[in-house]
Amino acid sequence: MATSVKVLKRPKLNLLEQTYLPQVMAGLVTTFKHVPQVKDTVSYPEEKWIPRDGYRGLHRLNKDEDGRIKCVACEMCSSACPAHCITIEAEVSPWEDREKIPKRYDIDLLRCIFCGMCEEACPEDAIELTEIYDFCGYIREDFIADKDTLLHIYDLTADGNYYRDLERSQKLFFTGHKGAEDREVSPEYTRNLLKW
Amino acid sequence: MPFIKIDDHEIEVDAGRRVLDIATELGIKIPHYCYHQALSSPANCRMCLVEQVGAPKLMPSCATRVFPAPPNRKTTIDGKEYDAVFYTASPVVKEAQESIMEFLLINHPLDCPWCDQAGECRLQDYSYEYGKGHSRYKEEKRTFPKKKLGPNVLLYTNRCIMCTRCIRFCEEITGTDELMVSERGGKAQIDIYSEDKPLDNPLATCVTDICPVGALVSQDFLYKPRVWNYTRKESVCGMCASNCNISVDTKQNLIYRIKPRENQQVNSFWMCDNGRLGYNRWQNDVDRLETPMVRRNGHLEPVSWEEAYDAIKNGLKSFRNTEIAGIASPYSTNEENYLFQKLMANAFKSDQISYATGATWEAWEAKKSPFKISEFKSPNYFGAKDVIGNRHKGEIIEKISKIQVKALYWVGGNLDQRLTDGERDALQKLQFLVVQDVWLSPITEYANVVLPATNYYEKEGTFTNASHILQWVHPVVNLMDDMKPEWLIFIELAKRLGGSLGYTDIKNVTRDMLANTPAYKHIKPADIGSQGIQTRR
Repeated sequence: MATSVKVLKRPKLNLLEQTYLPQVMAGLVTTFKHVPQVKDTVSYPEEKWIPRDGYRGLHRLNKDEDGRIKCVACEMCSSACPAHCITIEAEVSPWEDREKIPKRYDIDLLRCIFCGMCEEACPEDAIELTEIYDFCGYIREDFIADKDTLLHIYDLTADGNYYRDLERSQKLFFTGHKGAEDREVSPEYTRNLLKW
Repeated sequence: MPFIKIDDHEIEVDAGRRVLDIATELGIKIPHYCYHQALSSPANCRMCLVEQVGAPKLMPSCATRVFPAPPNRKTTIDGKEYDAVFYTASPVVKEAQESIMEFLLINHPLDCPWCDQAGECRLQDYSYEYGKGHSRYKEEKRTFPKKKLGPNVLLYTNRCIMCTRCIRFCEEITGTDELMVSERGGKAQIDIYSEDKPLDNPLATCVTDICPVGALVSQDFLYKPRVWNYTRKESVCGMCASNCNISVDTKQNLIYRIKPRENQQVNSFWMCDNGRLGYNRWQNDVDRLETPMVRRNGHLEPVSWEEAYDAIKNGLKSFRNTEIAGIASPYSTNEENYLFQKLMANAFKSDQISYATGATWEAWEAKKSPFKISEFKSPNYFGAKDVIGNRHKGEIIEKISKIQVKALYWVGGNLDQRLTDGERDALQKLQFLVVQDVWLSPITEYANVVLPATNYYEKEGTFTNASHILQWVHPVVNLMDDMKPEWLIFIELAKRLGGSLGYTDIKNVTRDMLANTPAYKHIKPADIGSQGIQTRR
């Protein structure tokens, strides 16, 4: 098959065009047009972007009206989880109205793909994904969110104003809940950090 | 013989057989709750209804038996004469199944999220396959508190569909009659006759296996991880010489549950609670030996395998062949005992070998079925007898007392190991003792070298049970890092001592063991199969 090649001719520029000034001017007009407009950029972390409803961020374990954990350790979430990041161990519930509660509920956040399948599988509306998108830790163990951490996240996000309440969200959120606030960055920590 | 038709299948069957059994054999699935192959059929769940041509209403297939019809009562379809014609999936049957499912679910609490049966529950399966998908019941459901029927069994009456399988099990298999239906109508529930007579017979937990719903649950399995998370492996139980067939549910190299597996010539559908719960002792209660140990300055110290083999080699150098003896274990497989015998003969040039009896206590027999728990609490007592020959350890202990035998290799494996005073005296007189055991037992107190042994959840090979049936044993959990299968220990040790046995894997050992053991001479490894083989002709 013969390929037909169309040869283009470079257009000839006149004197004015050869100075490039009209094009520069047109560009500057666009630039200055944007100066008075509202900006989308936020200066993180002093300001924080507020996610829309249905954003799939960090998980939480919901509590019922009496402040008890809603989860009944049915393992539907861990069965639905495509990343196999949820580990549950059950124990006998101390309360009359349900049979079992989780003794251990761990989510490996480094494995989690934040797909929200756990939330959809849950028959008790116990696990939910929150709006929290900025969380950090020093070592890998920090990213295994245990039952206490997940219940603590419920307290932080129950009113849905996590990012609107600047004071709350301004604190850097450690997923490693156990004494994370007063944890010092020891040389050992740094070593661990470098190791990975 | 009656000539019948079930759906599209035409078949000639023996008179008096149940329609449900015939259909199952033909591959037709008829849903049922109350019928169990080993029990009688009260036909009270009504789930197995089928349409019989000529019958005024639907018939329960579990209680309907086929017989030759008199010539004037035969059913003719398309010019062919049948003694009976059944349809298992006609529109009438389907409607009946839907209605029965709706009835059974009227009082069901729908607590699948925290019910241990979820995943292997017939209510779940049949709701999905035959159910309506919704209920018209708006009234309040009846509720009962949960109840402990015996040490190992819990009853959740809310989930019960009153199939009475558990009651019939206690009446027709164990013959202990603990269970009954108390009250009537909507209040009917399974119960024990009195608190003084709980459901505590040795087979009690079998009722949780035959319960088609989550009403009877095992106390041991309560709130363990969900059933679909497990890897199921098949083996035989080693808690006694009956060798019940089991399937073991494991997860991350831990055993979570043991259930009986059907084998009509060994254990039918059942197993005892001792065997079912026996894994707890190995997993939680016992400090297992995990590394070889050598006695130095009066203390056993952990060493590497090489050092342990060297210690055995150096320790036995100074003895004459007649001064070395071995005691084989009824807890070892036939292959291991065979190799141990070979090791004694090839490496130590000694034929002084005998076997120990292992733990024994009272046997138990079910009153209404042939199920028996053997008095020998070692899995392979009868196999050891066959492989080693009828030589009991008493002779060797006597020889040790007379200082004719000065070095001993004792293969243990008994968690209930006790020593008599005579045996203690004899062991003290020994100059060199090698012990292969699963824990720091009384024998290891006298040992110079201790090698870690495996239990019957970790072994591979064959066991012979009390009725002389030879069966495969498969490892259901992996060994700890430093441990070795016992057959490999014997092979490596023989090589180190300069009398190689010429084996590299267990398959050849099985072949040679069968060929060289008089009682098993006529058996080939391929004959054993999944159900075992009777060794006595």
